[in-house]
Amino acid sequence: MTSGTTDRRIDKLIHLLVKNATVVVPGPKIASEIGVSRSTVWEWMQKLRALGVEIKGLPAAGYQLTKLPDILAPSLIRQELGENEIGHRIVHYFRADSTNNIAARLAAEGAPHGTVVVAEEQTAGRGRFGRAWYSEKSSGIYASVILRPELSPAAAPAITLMAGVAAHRALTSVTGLAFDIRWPNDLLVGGKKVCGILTEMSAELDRLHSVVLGIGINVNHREMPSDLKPLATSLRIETHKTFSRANLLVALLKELERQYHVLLEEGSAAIARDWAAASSFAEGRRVRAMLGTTGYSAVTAGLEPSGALRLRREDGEVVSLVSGEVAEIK
Amino acid sequence: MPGKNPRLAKGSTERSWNLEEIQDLIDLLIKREISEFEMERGGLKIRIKRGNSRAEILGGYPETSLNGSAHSYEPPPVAEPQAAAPAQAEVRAPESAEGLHIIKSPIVGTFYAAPAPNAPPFVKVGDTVEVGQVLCIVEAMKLMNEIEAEVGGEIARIYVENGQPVEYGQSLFAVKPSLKR
Repeated sequence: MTSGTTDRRIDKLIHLLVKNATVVVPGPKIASEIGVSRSTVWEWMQKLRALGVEIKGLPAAGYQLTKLPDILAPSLIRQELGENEIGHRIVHYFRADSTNNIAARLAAEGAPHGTVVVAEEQTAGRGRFGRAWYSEKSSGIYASVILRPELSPAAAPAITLMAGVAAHRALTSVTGLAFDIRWPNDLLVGGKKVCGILTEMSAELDRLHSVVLGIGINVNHREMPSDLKPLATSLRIETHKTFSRANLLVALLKELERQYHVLLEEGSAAIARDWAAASSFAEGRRVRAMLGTTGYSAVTAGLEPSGALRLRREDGEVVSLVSGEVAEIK
Repeated sequence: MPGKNPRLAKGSTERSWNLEEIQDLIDLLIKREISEFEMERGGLKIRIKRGNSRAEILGGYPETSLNGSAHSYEPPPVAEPQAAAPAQAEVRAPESAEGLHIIKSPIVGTFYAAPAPNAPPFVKVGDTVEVGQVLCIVEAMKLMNEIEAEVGGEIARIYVENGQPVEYGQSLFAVKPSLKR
């Protein structure tokens, strides 16, 4: 159960408890409704408790949910999504190596547009170039979305900015915090990273097969590991409050659906406009542009309609940054 | 027009273009003073545009040299008969004249030969690769595009260096297919 996709019956069990949150549900009733033995029900209750779900066990009476589980249970997420295409199918893992790896494999096997892979914990969460993404159990959102846009591969890079805009809007609406977007799509609070997006595409020269959009959000981490402290933070550290990851994920998937349609229907220029409105990095920001091991100082000068970042270099020349990354110069 | 050229007209739709056909086609376009021509056959597309005294068959040759400067042109490994033809042809077939399969970049971005800065490259010249094997990453705006081998075979050539910017359609690898085509 720790590796491999989550048993659908556990999803059903969570759903059953949530649906009957205020009452005591008899063990035999649960067992028969989800089709497992009473001892399995007991085992799963232990597992859910280990994940922070508070369930009261009343001898001879049954189980009662005392605290709603903040588990990214597919049945709970899906019922909030309505007609959303993104998230119509959710594959849940208690523990995964990397949701992007799983999503890429599912995509190669033909998983449809909008399939979402979520994990409570990643053992090999990753960013670009083999960098690790710290994925503490049940504290963050680790989700990967399979997209199959009708775009040429050459037009696909704007998807990364689209995702940044969507994450910005979703997180802003749920938390009320002030987020910044660092080009192309890191979300920052007070200059520290709180959300990272890794986008991987499978394409031929003229045909895009699929895009996997991996999103990591630091939500309820009490503190970040010491090596990350100067660079990263969590929503909880910033607000001294905990957030429902399920609510955040629902908001994120809905906003992704909206921005995805903006990209397809209005084009990358519309996304670039919204991005620039949300980011302090769009205009007049002193940054260091870094590509591999080389870098140079520049001042940002707006976005190209494609989403590329215009930079005025120290020699006065304006160039468009397509690859690499920027870091602020304080 | 194909009716005027028996070799083109008779070509099966399953066959790919060969150089002789392209040469004939260019000759015909010159003779008829046709400046632009496009045709698709067997999934391969050819586009010929005249009006330039220089001719280049772009498919198969590096558009930039290995040191990454955009305009220094590395001489093609084999002399091509088209080099003197007064037309410019762009062959968008995935095969070059030498029977090598050319893998090109689908996006403008940066070429990465390895998955991480200190990791060994995905492939080296001489390596045998299978269909679907990852050869490199081309990155643009943090979109990581893993470029896979479209045919199995031996890596005959790597046209670009780690960290080098690449253009859309730029040749990245030449693969010598292992199977008889």
